[in-house]
Amino acid sequence: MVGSVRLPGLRHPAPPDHMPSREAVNLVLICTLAVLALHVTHVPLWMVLAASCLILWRYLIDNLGWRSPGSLVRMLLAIAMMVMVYKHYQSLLGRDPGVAMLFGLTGLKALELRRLRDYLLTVFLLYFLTVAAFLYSQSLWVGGYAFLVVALTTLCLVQLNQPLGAPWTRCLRLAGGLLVKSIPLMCILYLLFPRIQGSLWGVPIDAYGVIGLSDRVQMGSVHGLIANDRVAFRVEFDGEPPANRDLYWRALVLEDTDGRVWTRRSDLDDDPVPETIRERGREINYSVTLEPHNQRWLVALELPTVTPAMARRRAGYIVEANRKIRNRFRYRVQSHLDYRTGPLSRDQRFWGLHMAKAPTPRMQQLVNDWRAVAKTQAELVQLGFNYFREEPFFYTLSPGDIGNNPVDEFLFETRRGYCEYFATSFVTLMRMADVPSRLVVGYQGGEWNPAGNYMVIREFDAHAWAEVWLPGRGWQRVDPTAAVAPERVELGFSVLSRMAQNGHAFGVLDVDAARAAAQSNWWQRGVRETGFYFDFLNNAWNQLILDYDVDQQREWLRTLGIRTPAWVVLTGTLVLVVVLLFLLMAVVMLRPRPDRDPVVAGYRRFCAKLAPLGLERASYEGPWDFARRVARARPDLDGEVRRITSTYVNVRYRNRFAALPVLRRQIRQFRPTRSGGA
Amino acid sequence: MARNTTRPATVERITLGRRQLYMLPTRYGLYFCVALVAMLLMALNYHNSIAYLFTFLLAAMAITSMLYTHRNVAGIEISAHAQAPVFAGESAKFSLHTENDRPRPRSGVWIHCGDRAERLELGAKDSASVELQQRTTRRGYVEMDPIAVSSAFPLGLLCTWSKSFRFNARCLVYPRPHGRYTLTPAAAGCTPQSYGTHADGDDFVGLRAYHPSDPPRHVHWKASARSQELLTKRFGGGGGTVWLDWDRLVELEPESRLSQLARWVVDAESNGLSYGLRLPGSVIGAGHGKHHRHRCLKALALWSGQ
Repeated sequence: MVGSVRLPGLRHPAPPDHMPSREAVNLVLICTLAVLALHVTHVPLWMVLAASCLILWRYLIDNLGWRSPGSLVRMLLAIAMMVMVYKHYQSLLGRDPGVAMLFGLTGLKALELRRLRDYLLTVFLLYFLTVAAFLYSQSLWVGGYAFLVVALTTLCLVQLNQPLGAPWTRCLRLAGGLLVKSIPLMCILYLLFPRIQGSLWGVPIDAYGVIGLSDRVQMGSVHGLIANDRVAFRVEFDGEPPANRDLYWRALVLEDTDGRVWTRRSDLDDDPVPETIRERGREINYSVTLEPHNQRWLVALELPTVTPAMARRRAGYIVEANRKIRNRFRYRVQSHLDYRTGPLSRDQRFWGLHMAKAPTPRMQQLVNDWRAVAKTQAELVQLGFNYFREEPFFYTLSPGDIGNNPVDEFLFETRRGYCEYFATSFVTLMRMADVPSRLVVGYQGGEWNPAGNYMVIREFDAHAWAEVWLPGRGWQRVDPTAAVAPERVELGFSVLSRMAQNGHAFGVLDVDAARAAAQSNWWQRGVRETGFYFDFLNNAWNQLILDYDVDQQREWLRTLGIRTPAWVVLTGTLVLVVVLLFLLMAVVMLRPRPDRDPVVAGYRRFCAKLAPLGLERASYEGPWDFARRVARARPDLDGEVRRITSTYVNVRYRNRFAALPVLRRQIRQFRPTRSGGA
Repeated sequence: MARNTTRPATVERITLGRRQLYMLPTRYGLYFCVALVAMLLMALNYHNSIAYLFTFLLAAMAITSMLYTHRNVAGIEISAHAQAPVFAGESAKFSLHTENDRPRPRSGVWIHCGDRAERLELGAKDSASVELQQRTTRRGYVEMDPIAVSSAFPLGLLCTWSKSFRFNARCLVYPRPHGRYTLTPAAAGCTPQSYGTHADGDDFVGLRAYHPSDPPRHVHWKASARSQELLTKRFGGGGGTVWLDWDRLVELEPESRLSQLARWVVDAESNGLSYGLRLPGSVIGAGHGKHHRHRCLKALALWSGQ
């Protein structure tokens, strides 16, 4: 007996520690590998190798009789690990070094699994590492795998506390039963545990990176997004979704430029004069679920007319969240696709005509030609648009390099590019022609998911287009890309990439031919359709589990009637509900269960009939002893009791199951009277 | 309730219930709590919903295991009874009979008695006995030490234990058979006529020293081997008796006298003598056999002056 597991400082009988079995080592090692697999993507490779070697070493110690390292060796290994981690991360604190260090320690701990204490500490460490994996990925797959790992670790814990040689099925049933029975309590805790708004300590910068659209655009900058099929946001429409060509998801307006890079206006005031919109046509209501991008911009169809909650309007008809989007953010917006905007302010006119450097002579010549022909600004814009349609411009996803004067080179030499090439050139030309204009970036199109009836917009749907201000109409969208490759706007980027897969050029075919050119074979179609269901599952997972935060909790509590979710109220409710649920479980789990064996149950009924006569069977009394005692006390019952006992003993101990109906009938007909000798 | 005589009598029986059981986390339970708090802080700080979910799953599991721990012990029936009497200085043995009338096995239940603990595994609807030994020093009845039950099943995070139960099972302890005097006629004060006389009849009444005229089949070989001289069986009806007499041992302390008498009882019984016991205040007539030996030793064990 080595110590005992009782709480320190309290004297009460407690089970002594026991030595875990040999199988426990193997199970813990398997479990450790399963948990470490969750971390291989972000822990440095040398650490993965080191931990695997340590686990292998332990396995060899047990199975091939290798020597077990002493405590000095283990200590040195731990120090070496710490130094390596420090050299790699320049710190021991924070998420990444912390997880890497725990990763290594888990491997090291495998070497010194000896007493029950070591095993249990390892198991707790494994639980912690499993949960820490969610700091890196919260996908459905990681969640599902982590659940399996938790189940396996729990099996470990149960097995460690079972006697030697306990059957596996029993451990499995116990661990499974425990987990399943914990689920209601888990739900209560999850829903009611008070969530907080801020962070406890500074979240390290490494936790989030800027993802998605950038507020700096130059020719070629969107290129990184084109290869990225990460979901940018999902949209559920109230009613029919608009046609693909109308799906311009506005995110940022870029007005400032140095000739190469387009950025937002630096003097943008926080509280602009409300810009007027005169909306026409039907409104479109929809909910957007935006994936975290660590920036503030929100997307909305052009133009948003109702600002979402927790967000505000910024100049340029864009909406911005009140804080950086670091968790999936769901909001409702209203937009009007048909609109007129109000007059141009001085400020807007200045920025709408801002030029960084003097245009080259051939650009000036081009614009001068248009100005000579056009009578109105609208005609000028049309001429500019036609230029892109009629001249040999090509839509391609792999344009060549471009030099120092990008607009000039693109317009007259390379003529190959995609949306931002066309949009930035177009805006530059319009500004030279004194038409106020600006660059808008966002997403265009989207893929309809028929499995979940929502639209998925991915990073490769990123798009840039131009906006010009025309007297009497206000800001109007002009998308020069549509002039070059109409299928990009009509059918969306995913169709475009399928066309590219099938070896078709862009901008050559009309829309129907392009759609036909994007036809994929049954295998690709099957993959795509399965993808819809996966994304639907993922979306459900996101909305049900991942996005549950302060706001959702508040909303949910409101439906329960708790209107002031103060911390104290919430905690009180939580404790109350947990206690009630626990009592309910206690009643269900601890109630005596009726015997399922019909033979035993029958005999119990027989004994119950005798009990009121003062003839209670003692638990140590065999059936025949009891029968003899009954016969002594009540000779009148002797025959019947003897018969029933004989049948019972035959069925129960001599396996004469055929006599079970007889036993039942005999017991049913047995009606002892209260007074003897009747 | 008529007591079944084929089983040793149980004096008291308990069924472990809610009122007898307590529960607290074990040391490992506290470590687990520390791990849970760390996970919770991580979830809180990073606003990680799924980390919350798993932390709560583990917390819920620990809470649910309380019911498992309780259920594992609640409802066990325990009864205790003493085993055969022992001599002072030997270990008194008690049998603890545990019974599980539930259709579920009980695992990792520990029975604590004094500073010892015994592990108990009870199958579904099964019973098991645990033998507990207890050192004895004095003659008389020795009470069973209080026992308690504990268990940390199924996860080792929580420990439930029962308060102590004192069963009124007691074990008889005979005086230690010890003394200077061997069993000789002079010392034991046998009646003169009974020693060394032939008696007729078939009843075996005792032994005497061998005479060359005795028929060899009357030699008691077993007893002879023990006493290292040849002894002859005596047969007869109202033959002689060895009287083991308290008053013959005046020079000894009372406890030593009892020990001496106990030694004689043991010797007389193993030598096949017919013997009687005279104590102040009580006399046990001549006889032999297991029951007679027990009567005499019990009288010695429980003797308490006049």
